[in-house]
Amino acid sequence: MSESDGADRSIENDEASMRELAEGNHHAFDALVFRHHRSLFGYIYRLVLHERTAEDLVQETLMRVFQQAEEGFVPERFKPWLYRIATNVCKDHWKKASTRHERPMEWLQEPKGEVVTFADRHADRQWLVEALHTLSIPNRMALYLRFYQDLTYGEIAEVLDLPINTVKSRVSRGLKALENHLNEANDEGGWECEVRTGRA
Amino acid sequence: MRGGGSVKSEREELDELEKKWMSRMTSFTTPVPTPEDTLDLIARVKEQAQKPEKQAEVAPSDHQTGGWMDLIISQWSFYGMRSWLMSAGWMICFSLMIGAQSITIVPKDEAGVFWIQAVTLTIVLSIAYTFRPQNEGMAMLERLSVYSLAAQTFVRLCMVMGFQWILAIPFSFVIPGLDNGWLFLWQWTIPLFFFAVITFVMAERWGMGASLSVSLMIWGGQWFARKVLPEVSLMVQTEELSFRPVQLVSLVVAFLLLGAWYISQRRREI
Repeated sequence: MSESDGADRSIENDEASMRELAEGNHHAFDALVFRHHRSLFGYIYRLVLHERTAEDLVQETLMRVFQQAEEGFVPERFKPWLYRIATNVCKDHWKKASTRHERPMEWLQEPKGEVVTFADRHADRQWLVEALHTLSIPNRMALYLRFYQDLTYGEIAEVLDLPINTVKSRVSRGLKALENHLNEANDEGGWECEVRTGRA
Repeated sequence: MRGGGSVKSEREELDELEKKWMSRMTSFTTPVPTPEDTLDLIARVKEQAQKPEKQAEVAPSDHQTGGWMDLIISQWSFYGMRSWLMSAGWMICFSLMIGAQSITIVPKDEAGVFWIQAVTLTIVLSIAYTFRPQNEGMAMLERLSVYSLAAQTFVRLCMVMGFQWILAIPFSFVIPGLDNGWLFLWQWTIPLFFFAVITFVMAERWGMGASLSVSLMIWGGQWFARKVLPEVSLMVQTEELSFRPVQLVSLVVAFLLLGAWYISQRRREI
């Protein structure tokens, strides 16, 4: 279910690294970033769908982690805390974007040529991206945290600061909505055709 | 009852939905940052966070004199607690196993030699595990560390060797058939050091695969030599005439190898 970090799992002990970072050992930060960069980038990229923006927001997230550690803060559980910061950073980004009259999500800027050129390979992805972006942001966040970040419902509840049952119902609602999209697309004669004719 | 049933069915429904969507969700791929991107990111965050402190940053030369504890901590956090605990767990299990065997199964007059054979094999395998090949990102992190590569790897060697040595000390005094525990401690410490250094230096020079093969061959050779040519074997009883000269020679060889490795590392870093 999870998106792998690529980092060696055997070296994982985030809370200990965070404690060391708080004690002034800056090498501990390197290990933390190497463990989480890929998956954190994946989470933020899926939310904003723009590579450059995702890079900036990842940097902002890690900057906050570093600053918190500098102030001596060590979270009880690192991963939910990290994604909570990332979620807040994304929310801040959208708030700023809305005051600048920008689109809150830059997903329309995704290269389209890719879809036609590699239609067979990317049609499924493109459909899924579009279907996910019809969901509300809170539902989408819950789905991403569940499916790509390897978090339990308890941890997602911690990230989103919600009761566990609310998280479950968000995931459930999100998946049911996706299910409806899929059924509609099938009824209309297949979503793959839509993608290939340029509607994506 | 109805409420309970409803909760159960909701949970089952969610499980089914999750299972159904799990594989489809994987198609939403994202760009993947490279290890270089990660290194850039680390540098940017640190630079941004430490701007006021930059001037006060400790120079690497200061670490070499007073920062051994920092160096050990950096190695600890570099590999993470789980990795170190796994290494320690492996060493503890093996030490207990060979210790128990030396005490209970092996004949008294053979127990000391058996212990030396087993403890040297343990250190070879422990070094091989701790210095196993890293992924690209970790190797790069190691190269870019404020500490020299030589210092990092040497400290790691000391940590593994030191832990194994401390673990094995109590057995010097409980293995049967030995008159002098302190002498026996000396008798197995030198082979332990010799095999640790051989495995380490060769791994640094030719990679772990070659190192492990050659170390095991040397270990096998020593084991065999004990039967046919005890004059050149490290695995002999203290009362053998060749005991002291062989121990001395192996100690000198180990130090020479370590010195050669250090000089080559320094040249490479300069």
